[in-house]
Amino acid sequence: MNILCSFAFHQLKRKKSRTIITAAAITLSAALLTAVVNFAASGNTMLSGFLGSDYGLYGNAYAFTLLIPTVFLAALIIAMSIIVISNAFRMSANERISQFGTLKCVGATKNQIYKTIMYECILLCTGAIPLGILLGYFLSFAGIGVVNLYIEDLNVLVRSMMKQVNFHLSFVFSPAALIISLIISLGTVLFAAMLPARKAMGISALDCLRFGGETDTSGYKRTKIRIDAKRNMEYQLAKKNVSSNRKQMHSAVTALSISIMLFVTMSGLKEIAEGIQNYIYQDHGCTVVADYTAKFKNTIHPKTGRRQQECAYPIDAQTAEEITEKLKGYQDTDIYGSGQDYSTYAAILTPQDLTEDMQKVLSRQSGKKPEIILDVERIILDDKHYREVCAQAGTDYGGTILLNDYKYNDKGTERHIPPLSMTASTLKLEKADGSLDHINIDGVLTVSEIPKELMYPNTNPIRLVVPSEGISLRGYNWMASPEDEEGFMEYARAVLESYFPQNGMDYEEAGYTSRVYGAQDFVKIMNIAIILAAFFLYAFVFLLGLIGVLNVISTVSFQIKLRARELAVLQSVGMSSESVQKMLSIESVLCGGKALIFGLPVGMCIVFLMARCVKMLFPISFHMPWAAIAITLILSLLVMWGTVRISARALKKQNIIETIRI
Amino acid sequence: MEILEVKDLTKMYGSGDTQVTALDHVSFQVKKGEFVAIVGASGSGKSTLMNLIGGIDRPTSGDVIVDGKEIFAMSESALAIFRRRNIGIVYQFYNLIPNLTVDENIMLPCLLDNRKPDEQKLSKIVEMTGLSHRRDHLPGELSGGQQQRVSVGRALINDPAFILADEPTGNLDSKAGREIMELLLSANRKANQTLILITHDENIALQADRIITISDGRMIRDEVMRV
Repeated sequence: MNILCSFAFHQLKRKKSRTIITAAAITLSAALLTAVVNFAASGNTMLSGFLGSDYGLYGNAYAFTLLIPTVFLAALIIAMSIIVISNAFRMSANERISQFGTLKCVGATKNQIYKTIMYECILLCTGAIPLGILLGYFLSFAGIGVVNLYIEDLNVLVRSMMKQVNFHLSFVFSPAALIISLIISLGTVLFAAMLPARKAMGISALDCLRFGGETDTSGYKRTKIRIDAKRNMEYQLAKKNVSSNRKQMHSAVTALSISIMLFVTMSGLKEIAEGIQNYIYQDHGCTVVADYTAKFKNTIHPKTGRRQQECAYPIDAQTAEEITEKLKGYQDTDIYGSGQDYSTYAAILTPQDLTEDMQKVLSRQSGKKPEIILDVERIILDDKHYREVCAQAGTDYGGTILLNDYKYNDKGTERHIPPLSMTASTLKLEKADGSLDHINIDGVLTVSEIPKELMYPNTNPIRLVVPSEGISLRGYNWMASPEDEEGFMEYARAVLESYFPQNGMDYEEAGYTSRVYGAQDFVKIMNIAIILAAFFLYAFVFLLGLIGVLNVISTVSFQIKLRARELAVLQSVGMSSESVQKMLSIESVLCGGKALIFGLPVGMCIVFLMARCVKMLFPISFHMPWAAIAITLILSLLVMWGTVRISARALKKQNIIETIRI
Repeated sequence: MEILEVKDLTKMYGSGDTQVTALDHVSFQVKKGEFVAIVGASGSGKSTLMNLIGGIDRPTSGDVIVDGKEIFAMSESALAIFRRRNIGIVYQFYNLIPNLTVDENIMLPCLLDNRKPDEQKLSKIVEMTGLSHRRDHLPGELSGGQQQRVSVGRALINDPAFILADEPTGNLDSKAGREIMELLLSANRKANQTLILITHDENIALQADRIITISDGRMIRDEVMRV
């Protein structure tokens, strides 16, 4: 064996515990990288399976959806690995610095010193990276297994809404992914080892011999802290040590900070996802929904330049009513039928037509204008419920009822305001072709009077319940709460199929689709998605955190060994063993505190910013993940304190005089 | 024939008010086969001089010429290679590699050159150091005297231009010290090996052909003891 390689091998053999910890960090890093890359490869196979090799119409969006998280997670792993692995090699180089001095004195070149550290890295990589890749494939396999536990439930739910979708994630062994994982893992570890290797090769032979185990005395900073007898001595010493040795503990504190930050961020992300889920889900008091949706095309009217919607297979009110009656036929189930038209009309209004609140909202959105054009939503209901709404509004059957409520996102809070002041009883409505219609408003319902079936996430500012005669719509919903849900769903599917035969065609081919699904299905899908995402993100953060914890253990135990003489000197001048232990425990808490001081605020800021961004789109209720923050706080201090306690145990066995003589 | 020429060597540390002149315009020459002892009080600049002669440190001004070559004109890598082939260094604290055996430690300068020394030569050096029965032992399994003998063996393996020994007996008891001196003197007398030895032990210095005295970084005396 080459002499430089032999040095590296002996160093690995001699420092077994650190070799194991470093190898474990490299293995975990390679495993995480492989798992992420292989998951992306499996995701790619799944998407190409049902979207086609180029991902179809929205190919770029899907590719980015897959690529961005992969790159982001890989970047996190690489950053963490470089900090941790580089620190392990820095410690190894520090220990061997006097050996490097001797080697330099007997004629070793800078390059040979560099090579001996790099050989150490290559020897570690030889075992750890293949093991890591295997572990990565195992993690990927296990992860895909977990996904498949839920995927059939997801498929059943999604298929009730989108017939042609069949998610199937299978374990993919891609040679390209293997090569990418191998190259990135090897590159990361080599780069991490290169940093301390370059530093060690630059230290002169004299400095190597002079400083022994401490390559860089500039790591010790002069501090303003003065020790006096006013406070607890152990605390004062610990505070001074932490303050002056900060460079030595830098990587451990950084790795712990990153772990804390990631854990808090992921917990916040989960809270946000749950907030979105709660916002999207609207409780209409029904258990089953059947709907019909026709394919549409938005075009611009050539004369007016206004947007209009073209729909080849709209549903007319008469058909909708017929279906309502047929559905009622199943065990006399009450059906709430409603259809919306969002695109035919726009209301032309003056500021006087609007309430002050609405004027404020609009002036915030687009400034003050003399003429205001607002989108109109026309709603038709089944005959029975239309009658009920007319009665509730105090108008005769056949009238137009204004649902005078506008829901908007006020900096993250959902607000309801009445949009129209109702000084006029007629609304001027304009079609896309510029033709005008005047509609009389016969009755008004306020927010508290509007039926809950008509409260949904996206509504237009002007909402009118109109008589259904002669109206054709793009879509229609039938909501029900049957006693026999399964039976009703089967019956409803048959009814819809008889009106809108799909004949095995999808939405694009047929030009329409009809679905029957449970009202809770969206929530269930969101729940499964959140559970899966949370499982993978927490597993990822846990494994990445484990790399950080390995670094803490390695650094703390190394620092304590390095300080054995200093601690023996303290004991020799009369500090009891218990006091030394106490001082080290305080140091650990202070270091843990430093990691928390950085990691917690940064994590909380990221969570806060994410929540702010999401709140611009959805008025979600969001709370800081305080439980996760508390867990992080306790765990971080425990990791630091536990590591110091265990490492400091070895000090009890050592002979003070022998240690001082070294 | 001069094997070593030290020309106007000056070494300063620090700057401004804290500047210290460790070596102040020191010049001398050493002939092939000569045994030169460098003596001086603690902090006089002996070790600085040794580090500069060995090419381990670089001077503020002046030059060191070994076998006709200006060592400080070389690049750092070239100087390292030159050092392992032409200069044998013996330290007070042996500075052996703890995980290499006696044989490997002695062969180290050759191994760094990616070559194995002649087996006969290695055996001869091992025999000379009296460690034939301990060739596979690690430094930790040897006494201080034995470790220093390995260090001398390592210095001799490449037939260097000269051996530079810094207080080689300073960390040994008198018997082991005597044995090391016998080994170094034997190399000097029998193999005509040039020897430059730093010591503050008068008895050791008196065995040299020449004694150079350093005080406060200056060479204050250069006495020829025997021709």
